[in-house]
Amino acid sequence: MTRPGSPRSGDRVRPRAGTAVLVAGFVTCLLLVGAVLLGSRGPGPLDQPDAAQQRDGLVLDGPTVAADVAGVHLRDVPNVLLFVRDAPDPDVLDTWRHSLPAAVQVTVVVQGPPRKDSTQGQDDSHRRPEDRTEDRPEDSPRLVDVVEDPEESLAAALRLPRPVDEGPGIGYAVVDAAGVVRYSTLDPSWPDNAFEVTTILESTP
Amino acid sequence: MTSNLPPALPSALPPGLPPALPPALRPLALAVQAVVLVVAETVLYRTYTGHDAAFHWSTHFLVAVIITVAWHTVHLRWRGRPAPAQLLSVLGLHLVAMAPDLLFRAGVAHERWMDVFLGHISSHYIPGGDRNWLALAVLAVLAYTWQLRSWLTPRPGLPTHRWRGQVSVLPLVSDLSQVVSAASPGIPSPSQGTWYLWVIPVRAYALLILTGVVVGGWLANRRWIARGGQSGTVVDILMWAVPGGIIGARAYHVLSRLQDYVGPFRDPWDILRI
Repeated sequence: MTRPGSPRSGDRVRPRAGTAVLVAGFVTCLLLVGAVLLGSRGPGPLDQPDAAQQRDGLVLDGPTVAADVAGVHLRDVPNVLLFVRDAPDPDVLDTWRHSLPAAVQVTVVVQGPPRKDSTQGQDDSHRRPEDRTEDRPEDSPRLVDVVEDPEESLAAALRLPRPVDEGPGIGYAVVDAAGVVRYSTLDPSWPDNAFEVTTILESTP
Repeated sequence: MTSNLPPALPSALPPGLPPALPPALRPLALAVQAVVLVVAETVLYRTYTGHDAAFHWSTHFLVAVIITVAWHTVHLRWRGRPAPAQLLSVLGLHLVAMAPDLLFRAGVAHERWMDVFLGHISSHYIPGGDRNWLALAVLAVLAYTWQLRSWLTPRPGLPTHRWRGQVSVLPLVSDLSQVVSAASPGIPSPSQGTWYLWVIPVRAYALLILTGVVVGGWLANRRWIARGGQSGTVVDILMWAVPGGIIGARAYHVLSRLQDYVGPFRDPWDILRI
């Protein structure tokens, strides 16, 4: 029991707590800065300079593109165009394609200058998917179309952003059946993010 | 000569405050919350890194930190004690802020209205991005820490920071103004500053001045009465203070931009055309 006039325990505890709170606040700030700096990474060479614009998940309202661009028909059915610099690994591409709805047209757009075929007489791991269809059973349909677009006319028409390294963008675009661009984003890790394409397609009018 | 001055503010702990630490600041409770917060945030972070989107994690986390600190500040001032769940509330608000990302995983694309989730869409687009959010969060945490420390160790002769009873709002206004000043580069300017009622222009800055006069007068009157002053005194003061303030503000503007009003091709009568 505390005698009248004697200091209460709280009178000693609270000033100490005040100092502790200051220290805790300072440490919290350090942890905050550390966590955010360690947790975030700056844009890589294949990313957009402003990360907020990359894969923002917002369905767009345009523009409307021509019916045919660089030999790709962009009407009648929803189109997904995957922009790459080199032909992707066929197995990775097959897995990615199987993750998307069946009722969409998928086109792989290989950008940049054409490369010499240096794979003759070697294994076929670098050959393009359409080149390998001859190896498939006859009843196995080709899963995707592959087009070359060294002029990057498809990327320009679909407003694919330009990455930090100023080279051709690696990412994808979604165009609805009426030819309206609904999504266009860089995504260097596109094999991991097929679910995003599906979500955009499901939200596409 | 009699004085209408109110009695001095209390110099000891405000009545009703517990002498020891309040439950919200008990070290064990804070430690448990810190562990839960770190573990949960690590899990949330991994949900973003799993599909290479770490750059979308920190924005919502920092927004949650800032809003949590703002809420704790208001609670401390208004209720006179720290809010419960000092650290867990960051996690709760972070879950609210990132809810559209969880919906996205469930097949719902982002839409503009999803800004209701603590600015989920717009928060990505402030100038400076996460760097500015981080600066604001650090500023907010430090300001709250200082207030908490002041609350724990009130100094004799200085007013407490409680809003209820004999209150000092000025420290909070000062803190908020610092935060707003720091954030102002990110606050977009409205596209329109004048509206017309038929032919009468209604200017946004005038509305803000009027709002300030009314709210400031009401608050000052309330506080004056709470300290034993007479009703109506504040209105008498306003009758002089408001015109004086407007004239003084105009005079400052003219003096600081004198070249716009005096000199070749200038009309000094423009000084009076507000």
